[in-house]
Amino acid sequence: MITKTPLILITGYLGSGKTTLLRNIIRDSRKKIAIVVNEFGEIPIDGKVLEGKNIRMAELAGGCVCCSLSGEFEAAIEEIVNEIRPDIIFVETTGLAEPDSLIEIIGEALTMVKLDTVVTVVDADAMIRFPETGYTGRIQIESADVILINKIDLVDEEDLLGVEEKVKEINKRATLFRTSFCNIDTELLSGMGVERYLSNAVHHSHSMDYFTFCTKGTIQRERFEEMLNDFSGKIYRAKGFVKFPDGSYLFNYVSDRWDFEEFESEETRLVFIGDRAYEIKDRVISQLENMTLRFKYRFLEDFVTADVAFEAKGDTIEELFISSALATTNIMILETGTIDLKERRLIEIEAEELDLLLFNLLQEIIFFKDTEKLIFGEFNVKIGRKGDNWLARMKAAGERIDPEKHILHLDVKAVTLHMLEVRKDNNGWTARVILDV
Amino acid sequence: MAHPIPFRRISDFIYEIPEEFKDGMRAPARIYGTEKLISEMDWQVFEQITNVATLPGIVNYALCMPDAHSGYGFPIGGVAAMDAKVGVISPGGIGFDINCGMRLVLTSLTFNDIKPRIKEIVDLLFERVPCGVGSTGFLKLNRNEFMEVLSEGARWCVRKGFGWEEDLERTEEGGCIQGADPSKISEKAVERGINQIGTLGSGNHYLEIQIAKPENIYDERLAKIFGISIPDQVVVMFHCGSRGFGHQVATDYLQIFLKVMEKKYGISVRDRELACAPFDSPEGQDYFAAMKCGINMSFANRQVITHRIREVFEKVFKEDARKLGMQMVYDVSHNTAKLEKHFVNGKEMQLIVHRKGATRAFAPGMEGLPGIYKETGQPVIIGGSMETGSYLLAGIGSGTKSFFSTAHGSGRTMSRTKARKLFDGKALQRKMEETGIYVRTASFSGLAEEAGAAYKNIDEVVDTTELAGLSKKVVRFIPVGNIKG
Repeated sequence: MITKTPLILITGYLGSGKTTLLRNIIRDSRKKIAIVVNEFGEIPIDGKVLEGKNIRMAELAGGCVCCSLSGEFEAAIEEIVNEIRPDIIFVETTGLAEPDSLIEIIGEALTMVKLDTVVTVVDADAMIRFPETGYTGRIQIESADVILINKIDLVDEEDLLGVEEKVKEINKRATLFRTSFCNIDTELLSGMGVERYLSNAVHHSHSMDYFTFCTKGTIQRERFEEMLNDFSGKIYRAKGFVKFPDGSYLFNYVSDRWDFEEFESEETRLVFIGDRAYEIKDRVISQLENMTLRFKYRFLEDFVTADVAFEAKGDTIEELFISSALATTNIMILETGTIDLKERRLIEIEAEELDLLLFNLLQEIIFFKDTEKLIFGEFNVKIGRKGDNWLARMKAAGERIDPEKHILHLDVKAVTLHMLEVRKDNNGWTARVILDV
Repeated sequence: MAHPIPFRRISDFIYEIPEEFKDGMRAPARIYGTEKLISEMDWQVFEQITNVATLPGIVNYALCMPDAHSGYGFPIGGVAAMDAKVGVISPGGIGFDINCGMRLVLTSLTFNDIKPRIKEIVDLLFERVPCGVGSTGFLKLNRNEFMEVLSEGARWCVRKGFGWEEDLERTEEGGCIQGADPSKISEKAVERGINQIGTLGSGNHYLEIQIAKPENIYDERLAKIFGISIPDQVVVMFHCGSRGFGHQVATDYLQIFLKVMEKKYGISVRDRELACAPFDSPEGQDYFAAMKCGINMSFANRQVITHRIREVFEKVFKEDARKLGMQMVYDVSHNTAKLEKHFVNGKEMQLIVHRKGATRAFAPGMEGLPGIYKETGQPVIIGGSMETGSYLLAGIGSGTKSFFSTAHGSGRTMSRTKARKLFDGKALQRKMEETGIYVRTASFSGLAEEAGAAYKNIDEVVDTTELAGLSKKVVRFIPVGNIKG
């Protein structure tokens, strides 16, 4: 007879600490473990946080495993058991999952595993600040064998007792542990399961909405935190990786509280979840785009004496042109992220050579500075051929120069042809430009 | 010398790079400077001036003044005279900032008169003379009026009440260079310049309140004729150019020249920024006429600023500007090409003299000098760094070897990027205030880049021009108030 692989289900509301718990498990465990992560949102974040160790990851993104993805979930579990033969499987559900239906699936449809324990992580701080436990949170607590009352570092003893009382009212049989950062001897989590009554789970519709944001650029930290302060209840949970000028971070946000933990990431990947997220989606995305710095240029020291020289880079010719445009802007205004995108202009130019196309395009930026006092913080460029010529179509967005708001630097007089260069090699595109200031 | 350049020492103040140095050189390059000044120049100066020496029609030498530093195409401090019959004209030999120049305005006030009110004066000047990125002037001109400015220069301003009749004779070309043709100007240039009359710009452009101390008068007679006659006399010096208008004219013609230079005229250059066309060609003449519009726009810009300066002093001292003795000394241009007559090997020739970061310094008696300065030689205004000092010089007879050209400033030695790393704008402002120079700026980062230490020693540069026989010292000024764009 084949032994069934034990499966531990980790549930808990948005931002309660599920991924943190899994990181602890991975850190401490000497067993061969497999992890299935279900993400709510199109971009996998938790999976990236957990990867890197000798563990097998299966990520299910773009929906919730308790409803829309149940078929995929079964297939993932089956594959893991057959190919990896782990000692134990951990399943992290989304914060919106109602585990009762999942428990049903595991009990009935998955013959190779047995549900060992349901662990529910409770955010003590959120429970105090938002005492109204929603349906999902209630079901999660109800189904648990083990409950971690997490984030105790954020609450006082009296409130904590209140939380525990409330949890016990919902679920009398579960074992409670107090934790902060989900620090617990992970051995305590397995073998805690009891025979449970399997209810006829009803399919539900989440009232939560989400949106995502990704960029390879760097985000300005002050403006990012300013934005978080302004979520005004529309976003309950946000997480992901964020690249600030000083490094990249793992970002966690739960109802007005957030933290950053240093974390290697090549890019910024964020998901925002809230029951009315759609209401502020456009605003937040535009704010984020606005605060994105694209540091793909550098000013060359000791290359020219009285003028300014920069070198810009891009993976594509379009990126190169955008980097060069931002470098030119950055000579006139320091901290180009302060430029709000209030006005838009379409610029179309042609040139026989690619470097002269760049020369002409940068001239246009200078032209708008003089004629309309317009300075641009964001550019979109399309480059193609038109007959024998190169053609650039640039959409530029920005606003009028305001000495009260913008940090003025140097007035760029002209783009020079002196040592102007646009070249491509294995690492992509590079331009060198000298500007007369 | 550290450079692997085969300098030939002509005198203590002239070093030559022979024609053999580089293929295509049509004349040797000559650098004016002491061994020390030359050793402080970046190697690109020599690369660039020898490129200039390859341009068709160059006469005698490609020259570098003692304040030279590298630029784009031509070095800054470069002088090249081309034979008007067979030579070329090159926008790169003039610079984008056409007729960038200096103007010096007198007062009959002394340092003691202004000392208690220096902040008031500088603050008000800062308000009335717009500077920095994106600044626009108070003059709202329509297109036709702007066209008039391009044709008439400072004369237009005086006609409209922005200046005195006698300002004109105290400006090169009488404030209005002949032959400016607005029909050679692009619409873009008009759009860029139309709102910018009366603005300083940024970078190394500035407006300064300065003092002439008695111990800094080198030639009392000339100083007196130039108007410096009271101990601790207050003067106002400023530096600016033709703003976006001139920048666009140069940009437009650079591209036009690039298209015809090789295909039509068979000229190839070592650096595209040296793009040129024969002076005696449709393109060359068009540019010359357009560039003259830039010259006039710049004269008008400095004229309107002069008017604003007088207004500020009138407001602060509640006295008419004439009673305050606010006569101009002179207005010099240091980014131009002008058609001039010079003797070359005993023969008079028509030359198109490019001066990029170099000042014309006509000797006594020369044609082109106004009556008041016929006997003194041309006043030459040299702007130093904001922390050190500036000079008033005069053209002299021995200037013939440099086509009567001299330095234009102290000349940078340090890149902007480096200066910004080394200096903090706000700290520099405090430090300058402690040493008695009250500074207002549109950009603290810009201010840091202009720190005195980023420049050569002005005294050394000016002494060299005197020792080399390019110009003679008249007065040295020290700054007490400064506005930086």
